[in-house]
This record gives sequence, C-alpha cells and structure tokens, in this order.
Amino acid sequence: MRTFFLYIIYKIFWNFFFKIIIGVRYIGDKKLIKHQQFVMVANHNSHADGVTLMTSVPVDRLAITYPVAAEDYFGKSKLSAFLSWFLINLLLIPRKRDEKNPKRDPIFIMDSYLKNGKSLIFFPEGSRGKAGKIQVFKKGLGHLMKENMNIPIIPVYLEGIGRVLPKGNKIMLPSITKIYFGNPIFLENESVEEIVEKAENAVHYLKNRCDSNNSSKLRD
Amino acid sequence: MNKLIENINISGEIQIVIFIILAILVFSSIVLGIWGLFSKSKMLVELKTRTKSWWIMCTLFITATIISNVITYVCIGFLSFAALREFYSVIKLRKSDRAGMLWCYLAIPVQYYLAYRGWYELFIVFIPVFMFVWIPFILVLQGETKMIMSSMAGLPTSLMLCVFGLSHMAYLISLPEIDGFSAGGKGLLLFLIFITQINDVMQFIWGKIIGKHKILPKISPNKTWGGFIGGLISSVFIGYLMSFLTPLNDWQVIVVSFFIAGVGFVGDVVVSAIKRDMGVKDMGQAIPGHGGVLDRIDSLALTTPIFFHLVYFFAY
Repeated sequence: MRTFFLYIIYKIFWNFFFKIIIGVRYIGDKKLIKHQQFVMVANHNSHADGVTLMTSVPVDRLAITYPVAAEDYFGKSKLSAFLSWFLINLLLIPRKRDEKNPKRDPIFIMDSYLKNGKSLIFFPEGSRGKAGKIQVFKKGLGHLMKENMNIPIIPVYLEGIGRVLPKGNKIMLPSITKIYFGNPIFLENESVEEIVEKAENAVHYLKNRCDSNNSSKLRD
Repeated sequence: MNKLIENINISGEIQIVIFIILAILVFSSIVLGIWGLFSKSKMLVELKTRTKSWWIMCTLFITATIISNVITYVCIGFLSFAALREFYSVIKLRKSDRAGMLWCYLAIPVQYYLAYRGWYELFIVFIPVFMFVWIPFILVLQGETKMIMSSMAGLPTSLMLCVFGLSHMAYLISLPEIDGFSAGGKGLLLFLIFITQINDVMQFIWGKIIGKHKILPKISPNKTWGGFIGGLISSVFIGYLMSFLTPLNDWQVIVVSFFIAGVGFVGDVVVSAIKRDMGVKDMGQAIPGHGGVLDRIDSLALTTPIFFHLVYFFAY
C-alpha cells in the first residue's frame, strides 16, 4: 500500500515537478538499480535535497528508502512532521547524540533502519553549506557504517540545487540542477575515520568532475 | 493515411515543406553514414549526434504544429520557459533577485495567453512596457541596492530575449487570414524556423569550406567571413524558393530572408558573448551535440520579432 502510494505521488507529482519544472538532470543514476540496499551520501545545500534525490530512486524501492533530515526543521510541528513522512518519506532524527536514551539517538535510529533492510539518503555535512563548497563531513557517517559494513555507499554530488531553494527562502524557483552519481564504495575493514574520508573524497571527486565539465574548452 | 492528413487539415504548401525537411534529414543521415565508413574523425561523431538531435527536434516540432493550435502555443511557451531557466542557471544574479525572477517566470503564461487570444495591442506592450516598469520596482522593494543596476538590466533583457522574441512565433498563428494565402500563420512559422535554422547550418558548412578570416575571434572562434556571407547568400536563395509559404512578393521575400540571415548571426554572437562572460561553453546540455536549448534557439530569439514585424508591415 505504502509502495503504491509513494509510486503514485512520485510518478505523478515529484518526478514531473523536478524533471520538467525545476530542471533536474541525472548523470549516471543506473548504478543505483544494481543495489538492493544502499546509503546515499550527498552534499547538502538546500531543504529540497532529500526529495530531489528521492526522484532518482527506482520506484519499487521508494518505500524502503528514507532521506534523513534533522527534526528541528521538518519536525517543527506535528503536521509538518507527518506531511514530510507522508509525502516524501523523510526520516526525522534529532541533531545531538544521546547515548543514554537509544530512542533519541540519531545513530541508533538510523542503524536500526539499516538493520531492517532499509536504505538511507544521508547528508554527512550536517547542515546546509554554501553552494559550490563542501563542508567537512561529520563522524556520524563513520559510526553508522562501521556497524553496517555490508552496505555500499553511493557518493552523490548535487550541483545547482542551492539556486532552487537557497537558505532562508521559502519559494522554489526553476533552475537547472545536476545530480552526479559516483561509483559505489564497498567497505572492508576501514576505521570510522577512514570511512568518512573515503566518502568525502568520493564526493569531492564528483565535484571536480562537475566543475571541469562546466568550464571545458569553449565552443562557438 | 490520406484521411488522417485531411482530418488534421494542413495545407498543401506545408506538406511540401515537411517533405523537404524529412528529405534533408534522410539525405544528411545517408551522407554521414557513408562518410562514416571511411573515416572516424571527432567532427564526424559530433555531426552524427547533431543530426540525431535534429531528427528528434524536427519530429517534435512537426507533430506539435500539425496536431492542434493549442498544443503549438503550449510548446512554444515551454520553449520560452526552458530557455529562461537555462539563462538564469548561467548568469550571475543576487539572492535578492529571486522575487524578480519569479515575476519573470510568471510573465510567460500571460504573454502566451495574450498571443493565444490575439490581443495584439496588449501582446506587443506587455513585456517592453508593463514588465519593464514592474521588474525594477520589484527589485527596489527588496531593499538591496548593491549591484542592482546589473539585475535591472539583466532581468528585462532575459525576458526580451527568451519570452518576448519567441512569443512572436506563437502570435504568427494568431494572425488573421489573408485572402488567397492558404499556408496561413503556420506557413509563416515554418518559413521562419526553416530559414533561421538552415542559415545556421549553411553558415557552418560554408565556414568549413571557404572560411578563412575570422569575423569576431574574441567572441566566436568558429565564425568566419566566408561562412557568414556564404550563409547569407544561400539563405536568401532558399528563402526565395520557399516564398510560397508567405504572402509576400519576390523582393519582399528577399528582404525578409536577408534580415533573417543577418539577424540570426547577431543572435548567435550575442548569446555567445554572454557565454564568454560567464565562462561556460554551452548554456546547458539539453540537446546532445548542440548544447542547451538557448544554444539552439539563440538566433531564433532575435530573428522572430524582426521577421514578424517585417511581415506585419508588408502584408497585414
């Protein structure tokens, strides 16, 4: 039922909205389809990041893929928390770690989702950064993946979404947005720091590819 | 099949041109295919992707024009929207310009509705007069004056380039009928797009054959005097042959084709100059081999209003 509902709402509304109106282009999204479960790691520029990335997920996996967001913005009221789950399938987590109370601990919540076979879309920068600049990745990603070494990380770089819905704005405006998908990272025995570093390097690599694509040699 | 075409009701002249377009596409695909047997140069690969995109664009355009008038208006309106979106994705604007951008987007449906209803007096002044007042006022209301001059210039220019110019294509279909001229507005639309695009192709081909002296080396390294003049002469010649699509007499068609070819070149270099300033190669990647939507229709954006008003002056 949930799969069907998300299928309808994404097929009819979100995909149309983001592809036709906003102008989202996908570069290399075929890599997703091969993996039943994944953790997508992306840079964070805008509140629209999560739903934009969800439009690239194959429809049969929409209901088991959750973009992770901090509850201090989307969970302001009960209604907005409900709608962001109902319409987008957002997973709301608290910002601060809480070791004593596992139910309020972000890493524990995400870990239990992954253990149940769900996929996550994750923004390791923590908060929205300036367009074109990737902030330092937080350690949370490492702690989470350390417990789930069998799940591949898919690095993603979002370009231009900051112009669609920048910080401090409420209205979305159309602007060409490109989503670069990188090769999946398979973990073996890395430490927490190494996992974070690997993911960070992969996203930086995609950013460089994107930048060089934009300014390669001039044509007529 | 005959019955289908009768139902859709396209005049004999337009059928001829659609046939010519398909013939050109088939011919160039065959030539490129045979050429491909002997060489594998980089240019050939690009020409092939370009031809493939031409096939898609021509099919879309022809189906959009023959199915129904409303679809034609919506399609040209969407073309404006896609061009404007590309323009805003490339040029540098301030955060406080977003309100102005929103109003520019909202101007598109209004302008095309005016074209659809055929309210000429409003259609012709809505962007150059009303929006020209409204957009700077909206920018002023944001209370941010730093660099406001460039935004006040950039936003109305983007509207003129992407919306006002292109919307004249839609208005061509709304023009009243003239006795003894059966091709109608769609014939004029086809003539305009055909001559503008064939002029682009001819400039490219003549430039490759006899192009030596660069015309504007700092802006467009591939544009040559040979290509420009060769393209101009062949466009005027082709325009003369296609005059059955227009209600004009011989010398009027020659003048109009001459203007389309010349202004097409202007549109091309104007958009190129903007790209150079912003440090990008193309406006986007929407059309493989061509770049973005705006890269393809840069010449159309300026030829359309010039063509429209010349024809309006001569024939209406």
